[in-house]
Amino acid sequence: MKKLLVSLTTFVIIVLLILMQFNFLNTFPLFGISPCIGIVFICMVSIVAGEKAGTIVGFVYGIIQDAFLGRTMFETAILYMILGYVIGRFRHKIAIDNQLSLIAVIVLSTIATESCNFIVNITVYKAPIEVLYLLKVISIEIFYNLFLLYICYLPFVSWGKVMNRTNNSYYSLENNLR
Amino acid sequence: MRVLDSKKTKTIMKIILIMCIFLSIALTGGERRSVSFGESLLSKILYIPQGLVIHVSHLVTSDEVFFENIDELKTENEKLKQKIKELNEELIDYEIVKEENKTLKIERDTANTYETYNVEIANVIAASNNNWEEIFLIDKGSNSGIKPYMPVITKDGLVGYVLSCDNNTSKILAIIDATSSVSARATKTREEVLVKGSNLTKNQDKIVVSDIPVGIIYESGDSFETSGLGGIYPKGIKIGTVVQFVSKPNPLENTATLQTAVDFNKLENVAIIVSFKEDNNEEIVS
Repeated sequence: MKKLLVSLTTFVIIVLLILMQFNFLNTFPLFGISPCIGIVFICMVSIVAGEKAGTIVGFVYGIIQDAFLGRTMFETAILYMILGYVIGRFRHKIAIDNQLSLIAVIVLSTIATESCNFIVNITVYKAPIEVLYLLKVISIEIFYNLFLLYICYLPFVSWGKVMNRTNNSYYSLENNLR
Repeated sequence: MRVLDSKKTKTIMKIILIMCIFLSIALTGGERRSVSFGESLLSKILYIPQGLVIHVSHLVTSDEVFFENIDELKTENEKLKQKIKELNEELIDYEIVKEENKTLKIERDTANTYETYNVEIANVIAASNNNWEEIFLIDKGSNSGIKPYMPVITKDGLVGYVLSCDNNTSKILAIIDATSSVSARATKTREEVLVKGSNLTKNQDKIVVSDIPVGIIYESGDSFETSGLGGIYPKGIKIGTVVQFVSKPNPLENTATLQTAVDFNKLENVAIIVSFKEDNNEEIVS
């Protein structure tokens, strides 16, 4: 019952974040570049709640975004799913209280996500190869996403902990290690 | 204190007080044009509490009236509530009519601009969040007869085409998207060119003209329209005007930058071309 409740609440949070992205964040682009709150949320959840939660959250976030305004279904879903899995897989090397490691995670995630988008655009949709634009997107979005991390760190990490407590994996592992 | 205690002094004081009272009666008893400072001060001090007393008494009096007329007021209240309800309903009707009027106005403007098109008007309800795509979501879908690859326009010019649709919504790929390309024609000189979107210029609603024939130079203000080739867009829809011509050492690589006719940042309503007539009056379904 508790798991179901947490899953449903996570779904609602994802929907709210996507709505916030479309209706609020997209209306305040910095030099034409919008941030991506999804990357920040998936990273935080994956770090705190592990690869399973990260993968599922990434997939659900991506699939809703694809269904709402994506060009192809599963494109963003797969991308975010991989992101959630990879970060969750290496979460033991990331200290949640260490600011520098969190900044590094967001920077690397933004670079990886936008580079994948760039490659998909070139290969699948035959978009022109505009490396300058890729560099512009990455450099501006990193700062914007870090700003979002600064604002949303506490709520995202708190929710990640709630998810983790439901799964009971991270805490049990932590106790075993002690 | 001894002085005050003495009987004599007390008697003298009493006499002085009585004399003062008589004197003040004598001074103030007649007709006067102005009041003294002391009176004025006293009246001012009393004015505030007196005002409060009057206010309270009025309230009490009116309450009595209120309690007397409570039934009448209840009826009046009911009538006013009914009136508010009616006015609210009228307001909703008015909003609906206003919205319809807006849609019809856009339809009329679009029809006036492009007489040969049968269009469906829709509202833009969301724009894509991805830095790599320019996709809009509109509030009309297959229930309104919309199908993929239908051209989308406004009265100003070309917007793009329908990428996909479900029952009640459709996704529109804008011409400023980097993966979009439109077969176009210069309005004056009639050469066929290719107009492509670009990530670097999409935020300023600018697109790039490529495949320009050798020897052709465009000037600022030259306009472009759809050529009708490619199978999606009917010909003659305005795309944009030249803002910059870039000459390269290899003339085959010359490009021009167009400012789109449509302002994509203020896109609220669009018209989807459901069918259109060709020059020979043959109706084509998009």
